[in-house]
Order: sequence, then structure tokens, then C-alpha cells
Amino acid sequence: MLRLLKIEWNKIYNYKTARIFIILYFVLLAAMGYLVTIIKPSIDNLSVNLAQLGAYIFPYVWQNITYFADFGSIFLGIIIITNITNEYTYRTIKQNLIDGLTKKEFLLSKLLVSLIFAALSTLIVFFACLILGLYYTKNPVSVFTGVEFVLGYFLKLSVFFSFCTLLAIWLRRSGFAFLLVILWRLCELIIFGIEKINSSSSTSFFLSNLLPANAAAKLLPFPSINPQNFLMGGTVFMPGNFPREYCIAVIIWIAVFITLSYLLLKKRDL
Amino acid sequence: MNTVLEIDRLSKHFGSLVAVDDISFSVEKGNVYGLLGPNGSGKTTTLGMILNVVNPTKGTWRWFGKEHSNDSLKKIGAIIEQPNFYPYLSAAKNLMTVASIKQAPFSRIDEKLKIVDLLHRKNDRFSSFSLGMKQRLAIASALLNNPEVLILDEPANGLDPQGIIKIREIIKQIANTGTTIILASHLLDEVEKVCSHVVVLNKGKSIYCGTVENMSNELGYFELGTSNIDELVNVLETMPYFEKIIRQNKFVSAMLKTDLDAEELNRILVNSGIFLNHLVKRRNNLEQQFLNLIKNEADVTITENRME
Repeated sequence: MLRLLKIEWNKIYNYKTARIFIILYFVLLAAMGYLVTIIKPSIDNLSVNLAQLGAYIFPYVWQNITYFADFGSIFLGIIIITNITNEYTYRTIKQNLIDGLTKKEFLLSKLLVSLIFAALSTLIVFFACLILGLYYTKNPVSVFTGVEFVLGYFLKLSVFFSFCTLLAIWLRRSGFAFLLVILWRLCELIIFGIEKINSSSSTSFFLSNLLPANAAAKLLPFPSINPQNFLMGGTVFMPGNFPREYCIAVIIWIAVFITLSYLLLKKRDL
Repeated sequence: MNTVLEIDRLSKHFGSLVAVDDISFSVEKGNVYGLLGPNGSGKTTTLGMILNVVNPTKGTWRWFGKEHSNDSLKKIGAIIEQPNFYPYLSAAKNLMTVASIKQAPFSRIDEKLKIVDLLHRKNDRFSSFSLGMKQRLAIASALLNNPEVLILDEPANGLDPQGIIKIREIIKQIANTGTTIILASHLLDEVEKVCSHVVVLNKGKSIYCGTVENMSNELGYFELGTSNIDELVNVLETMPYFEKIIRQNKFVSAMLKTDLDAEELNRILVNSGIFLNHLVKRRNNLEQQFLNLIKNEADVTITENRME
């Protein structure tokens, strides 16, 4: 395991562009905890102070910050895709295998990098939430209520990265892989739209929500807002329910993507 | 002798195309093998299969007498087609990646770079290297695990004469250490200069496997020179050993029909009063032998087709 990490580290860290982007990503992610407090978006010329709206107090902070932090994952997705497609463009995957790396080890080394990216992002986001929460929360509440959203963030990153890995191995060209990531997301949204139009208004469960991108999106739902609450002197936000059922769907998708990647690698000639 | 590699009825089909057709041959320890064949004869595909990057359609192979495993790959050094490295990494960093894969100590990197004369460029990026340097770096990388077998695919491809000579010297130097070498090439001249054995492939079939000397059953020919060429030709024509005598500018070429020693011929000619100033016994060079083999194969195919 350590050997695989060493191999990957040598490949990625010495690739200047990747190194700069990785460092930039993690710096931005860590800085986000501070940046969100000074950014005051204006809606209808009305400056919105998210802190005053209670965005950073427990338990809402867990959901709110993970929701926004997730936008950064495209950064890492691009790095993961390029890191794999480069092996095909430079034909180094072939040489790696000739030198004695097994196809399993090759895939494992790439997945290991994804896992580290996901774990490190999760850790940073966890501490950002914790610090913001502790700083802004005035009333004594349970700190870890809603912390499940951090797990959801981790799973969402993991499923996205394993999907990127599969596309990179399948298409072997980074441009096409990026394009398909975007197209795929749109397709699932369209499928969801079709299903919604064709079902009765009372339906609350949609089968298309079990598709990978939809299920992943369900893990980090857009924070629920209730302006009336705020007028009553409370916070705008409502406690969100962490969708456990989608967790299982996402874990299954991760397994599917990894298995397909492996089968594809195994079956193909290089 | 130890068998390093045994290939048994290996085939590879790409759709309807048969790239490798039922190839069997074996490689003995300590020899330098040339894998010969025109472009598209299946050399690289065969190497790809035994190196585990191309899935075979049929057939098996054994490295070092064992079923194939990735551990056997760690005892092999191989480059197929072209040197493949990370262009953004320096020579040393590229070799570090290879060394970690092969689980070879990093201390060997300088040692191997020195063999291929690249130590002074170790910190330069691979992308800044010339083709000859890339080929040499690939050889250094293949040597990192002190391999028992070295497989090189067209190592001199596209190089200038100096580059070719340098690669040839490196290969000879490695062969002297007792490493088994398999050298795939279509440059026959190249193979003839370094190989003791050859495997000839044509259209995906192996048509010869053995020593370079035994490749053709021709007896060879004599190249003779003397001051009085006419008399020499007359004497030769009375002898029973030759099937053809060709007069050239300064020399006479006499094609052998039955085996005859150079010493014996000299004695006979001296007895007939002819004193030679030039006497060489030659065989056809590899190129001619190879072309003959391929031609024979083609003839056989044509006759087979006619019989059908």
C-alpha cells in the first residue's frame, strides 16, 4: 500500500500543474471557513448577512458548509481524470504493467489518491464547520447534531471520484471524460424531470433519484429555508433530514464504478 | 541448459485479423535472441502477451519454468515499441517510479544511468531528451532490477549511426554479463551483429527458431583470388564440389555443392599449381537467409493454395 502511494506521489507531486491546483484547492477549502463570513451576497439590493441569518450555527452549519464545499470537488475530479488519462497518453500504464505492476495495483493506486483527496477534504470541512459553529452558536445546543452531513460530503466526493476514475479509464481522453461527466449529470436531471412529469403530485419517491448523480445530490440537499421563522426571531434555516437511504444507493454505486473500472482494465489490451 | 521462456501455441486475434498464429518457441538462458520479422509479423503482439499487457486469445507461456505471475515480471526488464516515460519528470525521477514498481533499491539508479552514459543528464526532464537518449534511458530503466532477461523491441529504431553503435555496444556489454536478451527487430544487420539465436516470424507464424548458423542449410561459397583468373576458373570447373562458378572483377565466387574445407581447397589448388592471394569461405548473410526463409514460406503457401 505504501509502495503504491509512493509511486503515485512521485507521479502527481512532480507534475507542476497538478501540484499547483491541488495546493490551491486545499488552501481555498480551508480558507472557505473564513471567506463565507465576509462575503455578503446582495439579493434585490439587499445585503444578506448569512451569519445573521444563522447559517453558521449548530446544527445548520453542518449542512450549509458541506453543501457549498461540494462545489470544489470538480477541481479534484479534473485532477483525478487527468492523472489517469495521462497514463494512457504517455503510454506509461503499459510500461508500468510491463515493469511488474498488476492491473489491480494500478487501479488501487489511483483509488488511493482519490480516497486521500476525499478524506483530506472531509477533514478540512469538518474542522471548518466545527470552528464556525463554535464561534457563532450562542445558545447551548448539541454540537454534533447534523454532523452526518459531513459523512454525506465524504460519500459524495467518493462516488464522484470513482465515477471520474471509471470515465477516465473507459475513454482514455481527458476532454471526453470531462464532457461526459457534465452530460451525465444533465441526463440524470432530464430523466428525473420526465419521471416527475409522468407521476402523480403525491409521489415523494422517484426511482430516477437512485441514479448515481441524483443520489449523490440527494446526500447534500440544498438547505431548507423558512423566512417566516426568521421574522419570528428564529433562524431562516430548518433542520434538514439526512437521507440515509441514498447513502446506501451511493455506496452501491461506488462499488459498481470500481468493479467496472477493474473489469475494463482487465479486459482491454494495451 | 535452463529454459527461460517457453511459449506454447500462442495466438492472438484482433477481430478477424490473426496477429499471432499458433506460435511456439523457447528461449534458453544466456543467449542473445533475435526476434525477426517484417513489420506487422506479430513481434510486438507476441512480446505484449508474454509481458501481460495483451490478453492472449489462446495458448500459454511459462517464464522460468513457472506459470506466469507478476513476480516473474520483476525478474525481467522490457521495453516495447518506444520508451514510455513521464515527460514532465526528470530521468532520475522517472527511474524512481520504475524502481518503486520493481521494488529495486534507488541506489541502482545512478549505477544504471552510468551504464547508458546518461548520468550527467539525470536531473533533466525526459521531454528534453533526444531519441537516442530516450532509448538509452529505457535500457537503464529495464536494467534497474538486474533482470535475468532483457527484452528490447526495436531499440535502434530511428536512431542515427552513432546512436545505433552506442546501443549495440550497450547490448553487447549487457550480454557479456550473462543476461539473456531477446531483441525484436526488422533491422537484420543489427540482429546479425549481436545475436546468437534467431526466431523468425512471418504473418503471425514462427517459421524458424534456432542458431543463426543453422538458419539456412546452404553450404556457403568461396571467394577466391589469384593473378591468373582464367586458369583458376578452368581448374575449378574440373572439380566436383561446385554447382556454380561466377567470375567477378577481381575474384571468383564458387558456390558449394558438397561441403569442402578452405584448407582442403587450398591444398588441391596448390597441387594444381595455383597460388591464391585471396581465399574466404562465406555464408549468405542473415538478410539473404531471412529473405529466403520468407520466400520459401510464401512458396509453400502458394503451393498449398494450388493444391486446394
